[in-house]
Amino acid sequence: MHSNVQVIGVLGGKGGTGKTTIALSIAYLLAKMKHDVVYIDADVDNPSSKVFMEQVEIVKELKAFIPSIDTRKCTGCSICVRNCPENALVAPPGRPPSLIAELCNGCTICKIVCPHDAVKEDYRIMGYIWRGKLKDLVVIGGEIVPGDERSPLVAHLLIDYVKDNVKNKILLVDCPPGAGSIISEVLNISNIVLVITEPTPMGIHDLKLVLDLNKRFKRQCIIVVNKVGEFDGWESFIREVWEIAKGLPFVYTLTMVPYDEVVHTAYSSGDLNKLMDEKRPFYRVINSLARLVEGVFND
Amino acid sequence: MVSGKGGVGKTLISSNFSIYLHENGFNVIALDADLEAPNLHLVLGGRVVREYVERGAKRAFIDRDKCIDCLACIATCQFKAIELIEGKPMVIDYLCEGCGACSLVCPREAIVLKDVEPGKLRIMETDYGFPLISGNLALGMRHTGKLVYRAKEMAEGLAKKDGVIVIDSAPGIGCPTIAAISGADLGIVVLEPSLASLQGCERVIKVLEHFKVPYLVILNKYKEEIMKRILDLLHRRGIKVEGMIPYDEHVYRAYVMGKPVIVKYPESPASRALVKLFREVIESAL
Repeated sequence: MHSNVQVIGVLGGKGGTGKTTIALSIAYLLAKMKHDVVYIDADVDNPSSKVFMEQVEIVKELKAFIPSIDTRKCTGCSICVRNCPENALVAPPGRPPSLIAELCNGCTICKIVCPHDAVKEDYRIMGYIWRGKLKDLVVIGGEIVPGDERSPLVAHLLIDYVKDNVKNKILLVDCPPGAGSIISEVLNISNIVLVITEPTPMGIHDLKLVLDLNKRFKRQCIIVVNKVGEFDGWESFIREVWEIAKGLPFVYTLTMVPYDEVVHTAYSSGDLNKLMDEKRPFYRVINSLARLVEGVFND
Repeated sequence: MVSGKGGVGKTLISSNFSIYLHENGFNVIALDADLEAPNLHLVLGGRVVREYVERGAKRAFIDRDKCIDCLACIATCQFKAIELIEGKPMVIDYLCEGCGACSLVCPREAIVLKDVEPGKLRIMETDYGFPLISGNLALGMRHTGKLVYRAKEMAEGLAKKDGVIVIDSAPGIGCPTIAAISGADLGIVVLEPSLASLQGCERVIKVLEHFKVPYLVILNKYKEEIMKRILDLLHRRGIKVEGMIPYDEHVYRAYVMGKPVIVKYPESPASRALVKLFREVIESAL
């Protein structure tokens, strides 16, 4: 990312810990504080920020190569069939091949190896980049076409689009759950990350995985334990998270967000006003987190 | 079990369904297909019987001595996995698909494809007398789909002629989820009462329909106060719910103890609803 852009990655490992709830709230507050911020939804399988907006506009179609066989030039040599790493081309001997579209990953090897220039470039849409607005906050996200497998590529193209088109100073990037390549990608471009977890055995198990992954990227982490107090006995989990975190040089701090039924309902129903109700403790905690992040950038 | 959105209850349903099937005489194999962040063993218990280091994923490697920086590889790579770093092309390991297109166009044969480890798979013994196939994707990497297909092969080996394989899929609708549902007899879509989950549900249904996998939808974590509103919304969106599990603190308590809720709290509202659902699925689908 450009050197004067600050990127806050938001990840967590376990699904459902509250990444989007917290990421969106912080971004919204930073925008309200007149920071030059944009929210990037990189959960291209299921971009949850969309549910907070009435509509979004598609700003880019993401096209992927698929081969189109020029039967006038094709000699039926089947070199493309043999070289396709996904076995997506099939041909009876001496006949032009046909494509099993589901298996094609768009690598272009068939076109590269064809000795007769008989493989033409066609394309299909594998995903989209969309843009919307949440009051003062601009939201840009990616979305894969259901049935396509190339989520990491769609997420990468989203990030490329952001690098080329988004000039804002602060980017808040929301990740999908997991600890795979999209998480690596976001860790790589981040200056600081919020690691959102919950006080449960699964939350802690998955937290360890993402912190392990961060050993490669060494980004400063703010660990956020969310939904504290939903159930009794959360104190022992906080202690456990602290034990995991305290030995790691890249953990900047650990903070807690209380469980709030009203906030949960607001998230569930996509109601931003209710989510950002200034009278609720959640708002105060998010405000502190936003100021903490602000402080890290000023350092 | 699939969902689109994470954290809605796939592991809850898969773990308890496996137990229920086993208790009712089925030859069950549990399979954790969420290999980026596997959780099934935390509920079912898992003593590792065998671990396999998988091979079979490929990645491009550029020989710096042969490379002349012509950048043909960067122009060719459809996965954006080769980047210019200080004027030199470098393969980004977590983006490389391993297709080999770059090595084909390199004028100096400076790029080779090597086998890399997509991750590890484990055959485990659960605490309940049936096996669990689990594992880990190599951290931060790709190729979860390949790993899931391999795990399914192992499960099919154990299932023989009469086995039931219960698959806890990854969240989302991408490669690992597609690998999990491909060829499945039934998909169970787990939904929670949130718009984000509803969006995920609709997206995963498109994938299930695309791959012609029959499915049913379960609503998890529902609360009485919002029931009518949720069911109205689902009806308007054309989604039929076949089973409903209430929000129940016993689920959390059982998780903390590392036990399935139908074993630890069989009389709880969630357990009763789960057992009713499982009975219905067995009758209609199995």
